Amino acid sequence: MDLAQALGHRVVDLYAEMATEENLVKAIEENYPELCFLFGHGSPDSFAGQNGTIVLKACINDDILQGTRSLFVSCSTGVTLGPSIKSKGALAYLGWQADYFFYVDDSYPILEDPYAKGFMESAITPGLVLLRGGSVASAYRSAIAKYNEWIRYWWQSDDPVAADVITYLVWDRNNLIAIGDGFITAKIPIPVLALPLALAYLAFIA
Amino acid sequence: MSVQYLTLDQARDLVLQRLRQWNQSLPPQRRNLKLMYLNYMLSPNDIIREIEHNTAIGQQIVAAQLAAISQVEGVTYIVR
Repeated sequence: MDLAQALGHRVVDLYAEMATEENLVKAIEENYPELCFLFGHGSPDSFAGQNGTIVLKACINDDILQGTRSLFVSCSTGVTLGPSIKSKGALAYLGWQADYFFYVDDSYPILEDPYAKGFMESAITPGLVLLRGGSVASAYRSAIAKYNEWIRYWWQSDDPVAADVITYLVWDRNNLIAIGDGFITAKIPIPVLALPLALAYLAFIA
Repeated sequence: MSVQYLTLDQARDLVLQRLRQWNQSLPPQRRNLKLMYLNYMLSPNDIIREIEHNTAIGQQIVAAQLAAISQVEGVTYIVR
């Protein structure tokens, strides 16, 4: 938020108990935001605010994001909600098409956690690029580059959990998608699975 | 990359075998590490337990772990 304000953006922050559907709708209607960053719990067709209350649901109220570029740092909204938002007139959606994992070591404060750092930096990178006026394509590619940077870092580490950290960095990286500004990417998760919570579909880049 | 077909049980067993070996090799100071997933913070033992009980969380972890095993071994695993 400090960076957003330093770059000249006006910021409306709906934190904690402010993160309700009513406040989200009101904030968008009153402020006409260009960018929306949503951090919370997600499912394929919905996004939750405070206390797990659904604030956005595909084909119910997701048209409120028309005209915006949105980054959803949450699980799975890329399955249905993201494409639905785009079809309702949003300029762009970036988010994850599968459940999102990250490691934490709770002996550290979260912002100093060396295990969480790669996951957090990679997830926020597309937002930073959008704040600086970058395109959806460059936001997506920057995020992938950041994930790869951290994967290389852990690849060189002799920490006994490095391989497992890499496992989930790779998973999160491979499930990040972006739709908008003439750019679209969706990936086949490897391996192709028939599990109910896994997805398989054709990938294309325009 | 070669392709190998697995049943759900085989996929789970493959991942469990590796995770149990990994868990046993972890030094005590690394056992503070938790995997964040949805509202859950999973220790190494929790991860194994979720997979053993075939929970929704366990299935997602199997998917992620199998993807990593595929890349390391150069084999595409397809579960059916």
